Amino acid sequence: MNTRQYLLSTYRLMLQLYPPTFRRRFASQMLEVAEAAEPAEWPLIFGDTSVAIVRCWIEGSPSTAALAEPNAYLPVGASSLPAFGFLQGLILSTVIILALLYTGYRWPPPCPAKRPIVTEIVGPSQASLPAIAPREHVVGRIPGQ
Amino acid sequence: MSSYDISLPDMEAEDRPLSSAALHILLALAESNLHGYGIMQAVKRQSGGQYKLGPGTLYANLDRLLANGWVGESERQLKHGDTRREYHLTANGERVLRHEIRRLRRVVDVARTRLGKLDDRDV
Repeated sequence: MNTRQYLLSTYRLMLQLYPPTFRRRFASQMLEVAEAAEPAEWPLIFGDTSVAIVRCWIEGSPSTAALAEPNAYLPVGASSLPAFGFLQGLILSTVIILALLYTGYRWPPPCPAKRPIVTEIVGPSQASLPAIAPREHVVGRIPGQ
Repeated sequence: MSSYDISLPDMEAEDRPLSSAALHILLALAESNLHGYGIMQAVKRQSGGQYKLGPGTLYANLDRLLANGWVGESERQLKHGDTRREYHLTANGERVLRHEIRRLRRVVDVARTRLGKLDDRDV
């Protein structure tokens, strides 16, 4: 695979990031433009398209709005979505909610059992203390020995 | 006709200044019918290489221009059986373009007057 084919494949993948309605309408033409482009134009093509994809998602596009409109305010019963689709959505959303609840229950993890805290008491240095004569130990006898 | 009739043309959109990309696309299509890459090349040529239009900006603008009815599209049969989608300027689009050019001319006139005064002061 040469560089040009690699760039075209990458660009084809990039076009998949557009909203579906926009992609269906313009992706093939955008790919034709990329195929006709000279090597020097590739940075412009990639840079411009990546910004345009984000803008398209944020601002929307007239073709997206026009195609989304007919089904946008349909009551549930009148939707073209099959009953199986609803069932799938219901199961998936239930699983997600249960997973979130379980994670919330388990998080944060319980604290470990309390352990004695060992601290080191730091006193003044030996040099700053006055010299003290060592105490003599008196060895006595234990009675009866 | 009711004042709430939404089928009326969107006068606000027509009165609004055009973006640089939209202006250049309409200007390119005022010369001849073009496909996407042809528009990109025409824009580069007519701006003296100053303005380079990428495909993302081009098709985002074409989408809006088509929705406003300022640009139309058609299929053109090529020699080897393939088809190519071409874009053309509609009568409505030409009217919007003329309106924009008049607006820009007024801006240029004001700029000329004011910058002329500045030049006098500098001298």
